[in-house]
Amino acid sequence: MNGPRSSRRVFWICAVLGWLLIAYGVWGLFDNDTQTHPEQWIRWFVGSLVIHDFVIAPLTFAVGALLVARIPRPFRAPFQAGLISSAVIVLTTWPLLRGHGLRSDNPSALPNDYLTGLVMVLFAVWSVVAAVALRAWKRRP
Amino acid sequence: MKSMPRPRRGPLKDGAFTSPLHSPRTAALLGIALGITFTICFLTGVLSHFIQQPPSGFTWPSRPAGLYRVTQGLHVATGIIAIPLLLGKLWTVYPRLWQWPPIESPTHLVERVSLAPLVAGSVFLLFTGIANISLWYPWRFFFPAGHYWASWITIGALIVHVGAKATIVRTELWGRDPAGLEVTLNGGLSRRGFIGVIAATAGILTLTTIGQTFSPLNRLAVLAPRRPDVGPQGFPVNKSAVSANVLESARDPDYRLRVTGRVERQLDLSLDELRVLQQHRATLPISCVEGWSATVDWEGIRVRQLLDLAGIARPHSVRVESLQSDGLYRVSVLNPIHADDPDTLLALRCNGEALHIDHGFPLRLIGPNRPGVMQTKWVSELTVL
Repeated sequence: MNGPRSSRRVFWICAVLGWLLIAYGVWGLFDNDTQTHPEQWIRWFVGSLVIHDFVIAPLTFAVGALLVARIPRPFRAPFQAGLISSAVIVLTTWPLLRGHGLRSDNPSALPNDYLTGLVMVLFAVWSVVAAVALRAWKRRP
Repeated sequence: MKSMPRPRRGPLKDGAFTSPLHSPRTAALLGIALGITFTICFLTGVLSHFIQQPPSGFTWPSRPAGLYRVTQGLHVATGIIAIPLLLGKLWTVYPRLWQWPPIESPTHLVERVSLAPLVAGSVFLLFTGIANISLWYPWRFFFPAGHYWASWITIGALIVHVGAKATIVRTELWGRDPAGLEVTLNGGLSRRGFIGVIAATAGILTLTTIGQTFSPLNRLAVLAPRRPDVGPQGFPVNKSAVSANVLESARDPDYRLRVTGRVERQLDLSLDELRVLQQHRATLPISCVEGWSATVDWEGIRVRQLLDLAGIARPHSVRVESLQSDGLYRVSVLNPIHADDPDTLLALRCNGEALHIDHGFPLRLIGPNRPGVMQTKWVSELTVL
């Protein structure tokens, strides 16, 4: 995946500007420590990297290797598509499904039945997957 | 360094990642899309921060009335779109995490070191953003401050990254790649298919949430944390009277509105006295920082008229205080433009009824082009600054 490197000038201008902004962010983080609680914040910030790179990503590759490879060929691409889409939708909806934000004093917060909503959305996704898979199967050589 | 032998285990093994989807072209296309969404998120986010904590020299106008609704709706909507884009992009470039040798040159070191704040910041911003709109706070920092400072770190790291990748992106986008997008492995997704799935997922997430601010799509908003038509008197509440601890003080028959500060005459008005003042109607959105908004018919007294009664001739800044005894949002400031706008009201009624206590009974501030957290509820005092 090695490509040609950017021109040195663009590279260094962006590097200096970018690191200045990073430094400003770090300064602001510590300058507003009564609100940002840096030791807490850093835990969540570093945790975001660690959880993604060493939990979510490997899990994704594991599912890909274990599951997708076992799906017969004409169905593989649509199945993969359905799986990717469903996983992202479930992940995004997770806090709503858990209902952490429900408030007894405020019924307008999280007013939907999110499980039903999610099932409906996933049903739509997998209907498309099934339609595409069916077409691929009919067209198989 | 080049002579270092490549380890032969796990993800470090040569050819450990076989999918042709891990290609510079896929990375470049998703990268461009992410760059655009992150830029929109950053600009609209900084804007929202400036509106709430104006730096010197920054004056937020009161018109167009629905501008903040658009910028903040965009902030949340592009943040949601960025989720499939980011996960797809990180998956595409994941093999690079294990590249061997880890560092090839001094510039490569500068580039790689910036990837840590870039990946950490991107995941952090999207995670905290989604949790916040879902009203979930599993951390102990103040969300707006933590999210805001992380955004400077992330955008800085993004600029370093763009500088390092500018040439390769240009080559990938304008260079010829015959049939490259159609490459598949064992009948799996092609690159075009992969990008299509990411785009479709972004579309699904948008269609099922955008109705929280764009009411024509309200019925599709099955995954939105709010519905613009759900709540007392037909629109949502963020802070209830119970959680603000104003149930008693708001219903106190001895309630008074005071107008003080740099005025000619102090005002001290009962609810009945407020009701006989000239009432003005305005249809204005209530636009939450969390990305939902609703259009509401308001009725009440112009702030401008109260300032006239207090003997204020020219526009001034006005501090608006709530009956709430604490909380970060018990006070908001009207800049002179907002205080003077004919649609900036202390509302007594909404949608044809007396205000519900959760919407700020007896009196709430409502003005054009303001974040919801600055539309102070249960107003008890105006101080001319």
